[in-house]
Amino acid sequence: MVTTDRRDADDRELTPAESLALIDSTLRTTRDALAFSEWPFYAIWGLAWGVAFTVTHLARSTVDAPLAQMPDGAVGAVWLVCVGAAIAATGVIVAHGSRGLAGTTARMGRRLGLSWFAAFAAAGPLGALLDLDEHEFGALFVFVVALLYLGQGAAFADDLQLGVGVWLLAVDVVALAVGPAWFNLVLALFGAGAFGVAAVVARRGPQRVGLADG
Amino acid sequence: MADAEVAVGAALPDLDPVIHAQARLRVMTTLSAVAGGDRLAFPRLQELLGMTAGNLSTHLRKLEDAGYVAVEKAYRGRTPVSWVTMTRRGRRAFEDYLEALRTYLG
Repeated sequence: MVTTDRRDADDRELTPAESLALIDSTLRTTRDALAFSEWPFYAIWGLAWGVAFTVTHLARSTVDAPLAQMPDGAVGAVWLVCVGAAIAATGVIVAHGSRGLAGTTARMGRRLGLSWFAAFAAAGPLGALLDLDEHEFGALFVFVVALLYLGQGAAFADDLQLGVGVWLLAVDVVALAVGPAWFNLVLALFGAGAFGVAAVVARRGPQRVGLADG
Repeated sequence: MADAEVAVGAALPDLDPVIHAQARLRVMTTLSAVAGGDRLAFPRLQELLGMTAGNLSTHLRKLEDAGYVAVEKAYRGRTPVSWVTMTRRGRRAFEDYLEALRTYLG
């Protein structure tokens, strides 16, 4: 009987060495299955920023005339598609990774999601009330992203997120300083680029979210 | 170093019999990897361990009787869900078990 054999194997006493080996392999398997890899998030958002800021630069941000002629609304549509796809991909990864897991980590994830939503929901009206132009509006959103990364980096003692936050703040200031003609290009190269670098670093680093230390 | 040599040469350590069985050791190890304050749904735990529902239930019951895991039954909408967590006592027992193994093996 296969079932009986399996049950016997399950109940079998192990030698101490076998037990330790089983613990090591089970821990590895569990961590691989449950850990959230951060690198896909960086990669997805780096790609979204890269495409959207590059298209915006080509359509609007040159000194004399646009590098590419695009119909009205095309840039907005590109942003909508890029950000929408990135949000959807983020949601799918989070939902898949956290399935069957509840408690502190899930509550923390919901609060994080709420923080991002609230920050962006407020940034829109704030920019309108301050009568910001298109580039200042963009800078405000990058500023919000940078602050959120700084907060997450501080809360989770995550140097990578902290570094991304600091870098985005610096890039944001530089992008505004170099003027409207190069604003989007600076963010496409050094904003999206920062996410790309972060994805590579995160891919090589430990994956910790939702798991006990050690 | 001397202690380790003595331990290896000595009789098998007095290991917790509730944990010291292959299936239950895998269950305890898996639950130990979940952060304190988090819990796993029964089907996810089953998927992670590759065990049948009946077999997993049997071993969970033994661990629950020892106070090492807690199984909380709840409803998500109309669907019943069982959430499994390692208790504080279970975590301590698992750490003691691990410590005993490491001491024995040096």
